[in-house]
Amino acid sequence: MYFRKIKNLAKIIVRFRLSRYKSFKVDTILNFTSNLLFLIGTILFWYIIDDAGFIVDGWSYNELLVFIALSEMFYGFEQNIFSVASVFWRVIYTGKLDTQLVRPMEPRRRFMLLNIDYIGLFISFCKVAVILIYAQIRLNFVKLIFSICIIFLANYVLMLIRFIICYASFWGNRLDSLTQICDSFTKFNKYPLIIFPKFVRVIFQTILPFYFFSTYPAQFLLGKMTVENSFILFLGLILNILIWKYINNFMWKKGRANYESISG
Amino acid sequence: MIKVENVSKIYKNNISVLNNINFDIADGEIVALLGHNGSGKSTLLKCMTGVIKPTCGKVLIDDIDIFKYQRKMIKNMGVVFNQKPSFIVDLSVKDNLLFFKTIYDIDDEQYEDMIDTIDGYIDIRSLYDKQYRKLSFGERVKCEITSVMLHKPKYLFLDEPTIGLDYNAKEGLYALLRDYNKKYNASIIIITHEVDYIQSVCNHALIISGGNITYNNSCDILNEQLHQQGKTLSIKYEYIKDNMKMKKLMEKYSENKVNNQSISFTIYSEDEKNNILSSCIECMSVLEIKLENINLREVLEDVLQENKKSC
Repeated sequence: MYFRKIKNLAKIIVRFRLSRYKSFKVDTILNFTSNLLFLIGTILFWYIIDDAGFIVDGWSYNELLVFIALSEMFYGFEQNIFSVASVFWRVIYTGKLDTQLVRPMEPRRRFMLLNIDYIGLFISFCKVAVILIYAQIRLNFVKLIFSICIIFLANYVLMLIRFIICYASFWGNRLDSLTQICDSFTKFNKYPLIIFPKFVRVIFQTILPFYFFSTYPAQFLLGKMTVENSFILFLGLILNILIWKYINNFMWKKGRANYESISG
Repeated sequence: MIKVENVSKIYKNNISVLNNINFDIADGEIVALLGHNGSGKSTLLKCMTGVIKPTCGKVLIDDIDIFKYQRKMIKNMGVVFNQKPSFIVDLSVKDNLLFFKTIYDIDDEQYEDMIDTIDGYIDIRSLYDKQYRKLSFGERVKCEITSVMLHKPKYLFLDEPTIGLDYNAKEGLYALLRDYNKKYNASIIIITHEVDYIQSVCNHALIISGGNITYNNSCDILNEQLHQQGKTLSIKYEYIKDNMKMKKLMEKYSENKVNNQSISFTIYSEDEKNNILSSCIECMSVLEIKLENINLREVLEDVLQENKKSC
């Protein structure tokens, strides 16, 4: 029965999304074009860096292309599924939460599910495939799937952090600027984080999930770390999930107890 | 059954909105929640639906604390908040209702059955293919009401559900609520300013004023109070025949109102009515005589006004 409900929900949400695309064609085309331009810009940037001889220590140009592909995967998940969590504060601040609290679907889940961009996600997968082919490096398929799962989980942790920041609205705050701070976290995805000092890397591996955005998946996929190290870092990601999930639940409960809605 | 136990709500800026509210709502009751703007009606409704946490006290629905276990209880409830849409604005009404069908896990048969039933009262199918954002305010209200009844909830909470509805839609909605209540023995709580409809729809009235419940009883008792308040005898006249007799009449029956060539008396018995009528015929040239019950709106206004003064 539960799976039937999930299946029905998935079907209906995909249908919603498609009807939205039909209604807002110009927006869809502009979105696709800007994403493509951004990707071309990124590849050109690393090509110029490589051409000028400034390459990241231990990473060839082709390996960097694999990193870019995984970085694109991160943005794919981020922009098409998770980034919308940054604006959840508006639901709280405007009192729209009232109408969602009295429906069976959990408000945060509803908010996320209804904003998933399936077409955008599909395009992201296509982009990743094209870059990986262009990189001309033979990759292990199982490792690739594992890397994509890691990227998904890292995004999930970032989503939890975004939600936690949004909960400040339960105490009556507008959070436009905080949303931007959250979005700026994604910049830790522009280059391999091995350029940071070790203690910063440890923080990014255990308390904050930045290392898992694409550095760890790329290192794992390219065989740039031992199995032992991969496992230890994976535990770091699990620790991240547990910490942020706990804080998220705690703050949600505190926030709900403080929620005053708006009058009317 | 809904039990509201010692509920108080103080907002962060130290404004006390509800003061130690206590009342019960039995299964199958239709309750009107009345009061002036800012009296705390909506806050009380939000406490009753588990949206906000009372500062003190608790609300129990079927003996379960609604704030603590809201997610568990929500399938038994349907809530419409005034002017807060729960629909996805850029989708059609049909798509939105299908979404609610899915999240409430309603089968096709029940969905079609409920849509047909509701359509018979408030004509929802005519809006099916329209985009929600292009609907008028009244049409949106119809959609909201439909969406909260699809799963046949045991408890319905409606915050001013008739705002924006035309006369026919209003009549249709109240008929729907009456029949729904009879068919499913549902408890319905309605916040409204439409006191003219209360007598025909609700069997229990709660009046809230300054955060306190000032009336908590059945609408029948409100009716009795209504009868104790007497009736209004209105007389229109063309001219006064005898000024002295007229003066005496006015002195004898001091509960009167004189307007332009009309006079009205509050009367409490048949004898009183007959006496006034015979006196009037003697002292004025009578054009029209009208005998009316005192309007429920006036009684409620009196209750609210008294409380306002004592506050």
